[in-house]
Amino acid sequence: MSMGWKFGKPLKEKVMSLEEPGKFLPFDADRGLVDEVMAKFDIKSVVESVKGKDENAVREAMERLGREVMKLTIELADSKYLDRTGEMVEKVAKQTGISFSHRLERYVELALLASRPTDRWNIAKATTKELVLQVSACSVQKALEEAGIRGLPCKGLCLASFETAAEKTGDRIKTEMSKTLPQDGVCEFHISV
Amino acid sequence: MCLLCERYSGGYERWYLNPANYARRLYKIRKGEAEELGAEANPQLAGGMGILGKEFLEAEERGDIETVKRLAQEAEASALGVHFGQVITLDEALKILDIMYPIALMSCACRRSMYGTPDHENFFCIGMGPGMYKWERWPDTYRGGVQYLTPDEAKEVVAKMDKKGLVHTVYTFGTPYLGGLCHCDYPDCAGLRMRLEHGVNIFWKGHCVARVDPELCNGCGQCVVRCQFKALNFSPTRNRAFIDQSQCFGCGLCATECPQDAITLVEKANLPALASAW
Repeated sequence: MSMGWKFGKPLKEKVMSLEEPGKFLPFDADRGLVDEVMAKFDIKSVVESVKGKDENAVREAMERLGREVMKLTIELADSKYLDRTGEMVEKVAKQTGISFSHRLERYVELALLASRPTDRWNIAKATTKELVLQVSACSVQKALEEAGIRGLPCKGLCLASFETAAEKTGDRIKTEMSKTLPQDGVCEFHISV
Repeated sequence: MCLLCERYSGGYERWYLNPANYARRLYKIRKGEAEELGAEANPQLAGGMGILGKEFLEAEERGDIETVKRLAQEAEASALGVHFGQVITLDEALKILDIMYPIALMSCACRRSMYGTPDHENFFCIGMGPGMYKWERWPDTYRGGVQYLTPDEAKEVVAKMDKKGLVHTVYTFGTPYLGGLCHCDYPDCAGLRMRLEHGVNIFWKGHCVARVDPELCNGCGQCVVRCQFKALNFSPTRNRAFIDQSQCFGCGLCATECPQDAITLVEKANLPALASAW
């Protein structure tokens, strides 16, 4: 259906104007969010607690951690530490009717920053249908490796956290891992709707 | 091969068709103090007409070729790293609208500064990608506000710009991050003026050039008025359009309006004399 765009002119009712020009707006993640999430979840102690346990127990612990970190992140990011980027992501989704990928990406990024601030990661693709996240240095995988836990049970942490975020955003996602850190030097997640 | 494709295509046909060049993190952790805007406050200054100062214009006026050349090279190098444009075709513009998000219609800084065009009549540019969630950081650039579009709405807008005869151009904001899809014409566009009036290349040619099939051309001349680069000429004697391919920027505006489909775009890579002319 045509939007009836007139050459050079915006649709008045859809224009977002500057609300308070000159006012400082917090676009970045609040340090307080990191401090609160870090204080509640210590990855190393979770890893220590599963040392010597069977594969299923490790996987379940990782998934639980992923869900809990994401739940707390969402709760804090949407209340006490709400930032302007988040507000704008929601406004845009409301105006266009498109939720994916940035509503989900927001929570995924904030959970990563809050729980593993020294990790290295990158967003390689973000469209209305696909989100690609690459993690090239992961403190969870490193802690598991140091504890002698082989394989990639921490995959469950990431996948469970994405699912928890998707429950919040209402996106029905499908996630595939095309690369893994032990084999490829990077974990690559393709999240699509 | 195009230098940008060599560096940033990531296996895609063109560097600006690589979705990675539109994707960025939304967040970093906030520093204690209020953020310094610095050069980021207006990246357009790093590549727009503001990149050429009084010194350049004075040197140009007194015919000091060495100084003009030096300042032009400095400006080009700086723009290439921060903010420069490249012409694309309508088909490429439509493809781009599916590989990035969000999409925001906004007022054109060039037309505002060249003509003082009021913002409510000046929504010709499209801001692309996650940087557009932070448009309020640059209140001067975005003082006219923004209107977010779905990809389908944006395609309608871009098709209309094409119909009107505006050149589709992608712009970087910290190369290779692509944040702008502009719709340019001469003399409105600062990048285009830098290129055509001062010979400073911050507005790169596209990957194709146009070719007229004289058997199909009926001499209507509709294409000639759409060319912003003086590459198209009309021969009354032969009643045909001619294209000077060395002048052609490959925008394809002539092709999209040719009622005879007599104009096609051909890859410059297959034309040795033009392959490295950007």
